[in-house]
Amino acid sequence: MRITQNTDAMKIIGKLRIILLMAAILFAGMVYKTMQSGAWRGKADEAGKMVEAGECFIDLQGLRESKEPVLLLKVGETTSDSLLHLLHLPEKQLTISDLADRVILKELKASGSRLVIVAAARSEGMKAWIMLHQLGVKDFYILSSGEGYDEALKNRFRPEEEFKPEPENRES
Amino acid sequence: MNPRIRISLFLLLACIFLIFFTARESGRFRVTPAYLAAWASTDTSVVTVDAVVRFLLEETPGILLVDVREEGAFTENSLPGAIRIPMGKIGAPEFRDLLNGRTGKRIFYSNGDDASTAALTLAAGLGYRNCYRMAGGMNAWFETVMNASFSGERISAKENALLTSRFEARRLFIRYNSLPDSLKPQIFAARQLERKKLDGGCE
Repeated sequence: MRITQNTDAMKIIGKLRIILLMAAILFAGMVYKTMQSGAWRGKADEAGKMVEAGECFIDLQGLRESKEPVLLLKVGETTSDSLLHLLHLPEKQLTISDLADRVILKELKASGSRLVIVAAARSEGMKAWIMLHQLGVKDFYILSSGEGYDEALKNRFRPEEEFKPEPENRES
Repeated sequence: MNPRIRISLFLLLACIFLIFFTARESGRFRVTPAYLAAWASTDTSVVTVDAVVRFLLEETPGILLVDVREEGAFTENSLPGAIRIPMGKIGAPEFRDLLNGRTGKRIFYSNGDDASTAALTLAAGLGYRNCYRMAGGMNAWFETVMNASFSGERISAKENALLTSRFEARRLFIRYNSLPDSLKPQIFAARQLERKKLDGGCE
């Protein structure tokens, strides 16, 4: 009796083998697709809010006063900053592409240091920051040299008047 | 139809549905880290202020200017026709269709380069296509357009054309930002009417 049942089941599987094969391929595709974007840990909106609040920047003073160990991440071709050099902080040279490397990412997460991104171009630093945030790295900043968060409007617009741009008076 | 075949077809369709149409968790990146890293390394999604001037004056279809500054700054002045999307809402489902498109250009801008670069990177991570940012933001706009002047003795045809378009954009910016919010959307219709009159057409 059991042998007959097994034979029937095999026959059914045999009849449906093409469909089962297709389902298996589609399932594998689904798993692969999920795995591909599964490395992201953060949410885009959280990163956006942090950038808006300027929470992603640290200046030299903040770096000097940091009680935690600091690791400088030099992204791209950076120029040597004499003030930064004086702090004698450990550094790691990276490219943006390296941030997608799982081994490097694991190293950064396990470093136990406050990570500070130093980039020649601000836009490059910002891209690296967004990537690290979304990859779930904690306690990391972009080093802002001098001007800080570059989002202040330097001219004022006065509507319905003969337009003359005026430098913003920071004291008023 | 044989019930077994029906069940198999149902499973097959369910698999296809799961792959292509499942609601993904909103606000999470969709591209792979390797793709985003490659994009970030070779990013050319930057447009100049003069390109934005040209889009505005020619009213190029499919161009969407996205202001990612705080509300106060946007209310005070913004590029003509721009919409505001807060930085914390770039990944929100309500803006997905607006920011993701096969055609046209969505150009992010802020006062400088920081917020617009962040917005562009977030958009790229979310898999949105055809997104750009305006280099230098509003500070570059003020320097290039609102402060546009010529101090030399002779001007070439190219420089003249550039300066003329900057002056025209400046007029448009002043007019747009002097209008109450309710009238701002009508400025482009008014410009078209003006052009028709200048061309000798009638309404």
